[in-house]
Amino acid sequence: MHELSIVSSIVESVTESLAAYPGAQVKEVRLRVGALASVIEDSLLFCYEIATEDTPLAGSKLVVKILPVVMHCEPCRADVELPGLQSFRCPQCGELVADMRQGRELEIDSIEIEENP
Amino acid sequence: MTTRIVELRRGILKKNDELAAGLRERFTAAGVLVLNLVSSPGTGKTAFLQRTLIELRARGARVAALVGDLETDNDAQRLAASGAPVRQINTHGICHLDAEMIDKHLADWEGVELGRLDFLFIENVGNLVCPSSYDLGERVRVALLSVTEGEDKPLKYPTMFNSADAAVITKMDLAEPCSFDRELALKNIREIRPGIQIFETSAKTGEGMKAWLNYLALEGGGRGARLDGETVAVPQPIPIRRETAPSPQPVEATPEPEEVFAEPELAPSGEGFTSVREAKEYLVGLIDDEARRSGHPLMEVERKMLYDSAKGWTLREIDQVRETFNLYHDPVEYEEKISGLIRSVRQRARAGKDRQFEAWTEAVHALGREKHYLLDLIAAAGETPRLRGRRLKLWLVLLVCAVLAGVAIWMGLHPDEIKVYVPNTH
Repeated sequence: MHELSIVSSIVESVTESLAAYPGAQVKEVRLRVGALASVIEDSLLFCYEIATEDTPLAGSKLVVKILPVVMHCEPCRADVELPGLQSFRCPQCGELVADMRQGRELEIDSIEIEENP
Repeated sequence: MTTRIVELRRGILKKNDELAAGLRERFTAAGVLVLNLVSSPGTGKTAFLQRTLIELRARGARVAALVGDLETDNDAQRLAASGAPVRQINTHGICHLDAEMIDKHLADWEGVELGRLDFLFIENVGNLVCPSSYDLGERVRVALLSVTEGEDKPLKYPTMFNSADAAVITKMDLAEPCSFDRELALKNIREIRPGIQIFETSAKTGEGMKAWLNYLALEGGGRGARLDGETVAVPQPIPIRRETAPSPQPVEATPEPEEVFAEPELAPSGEGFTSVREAKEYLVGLIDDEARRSGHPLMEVERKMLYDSAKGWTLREIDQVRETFNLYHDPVEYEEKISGLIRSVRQRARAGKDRQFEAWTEAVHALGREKHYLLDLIAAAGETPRLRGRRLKLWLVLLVCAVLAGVAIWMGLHPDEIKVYVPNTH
């Protein structure tokens, strides 16, 4: 539901970074999105086209990398990847796990630009 | 043409996160505990918050609330009935509150200073998805779930429930008619957020509110760490903070809950009450104090309804009070509740101090023959149901005796008219 505001923030953020590369054209914007970030990839892609119109990002491609949830399991002394979001239990020992190491990311990883020398 | 990859590694909601971090610092410096309440629409956030505000205020805490909705200020109006400062944030279509909205609405909130608050509640827009991405600078995020929503809600919305610091189950008074599977709901919440504190409450009956208030006291009083893992909260009395206190005080231990509320001032005995208003205020004050003592303080509108009058002195805003009352309260339940309170007040007055009982009686007399709702309520509370029951039995026995005696006398006066039917055997 709030993907449009997220995409607007992306446009704002990328436009700011482009100041260092005058004349550059954005080809791709790569995101890292945690599985628990409450953001849906399809909605992001859908909003992206609309929100980038008439901006330096127009015509660029959005690539979303979904990161699985990683929890720290104390009994196993290991970081474990959760297979789904229906249960916060260690897939190895079955204990409940509360210490999150990855899963809420919502960030721009990098952008690919084309420069005229 | 050269292609280049520029590493940004930047949070998309960085602006919001930075603003929220700044707010959190301000809240901590001001000594105010800020809570963000999130749930689906219709879970009962407003009713739960209203009750919380009332109960905290009754305990002397300084509270305020910001309430987010797409449109209307209905919720703010309901919450304002608690007497706490309340401000509505209309998002006009946006599905969540963000740090900027909070910052803006705090900046020009007349009469509210963070430094003079103990608790600030933020009621988010009813939505279990989007608000989870937006940090508002709160220290405690509370996810609410009502018994009417189904026990699997936490499984359906793991992003929200996993980000919460506390969970509140609302409308527990409807658990039975809804066939609410309590164990399953608790299990589901813990499956998504291991170690979370869960409160089972009803804003209507007051069930579970004590545990919740104790939690607030513990979190707000700066006592100890956050309650994570399997730690069980030791119930602590709510800290008593008075408006006049120069700065927020640490949690004080209260030996007896009775002492939290001062004895109502006694009316000058012998001289009686000089006006209906004085008498009414005295009686309402006693009933109000009794409600607090019982652990279920009266809501503002319930208290004000006690002033209702067809003829004679009443509150200026009584029409509005009546309207709100009719909207949200069941008069039968209300009258039963007040009857119970009146009986307790009378019992306490009788058992304790002669002067107080005298004052009570005088106040009732002072209301005289005018039409006051309060007089009806006091009359209805007449006796305890047991006594009334016993008297009813006595009346029935007397009635039967009278009828039997009447029949016997009639038979004695008219012996000829008594014909006994004998069946013909021929």
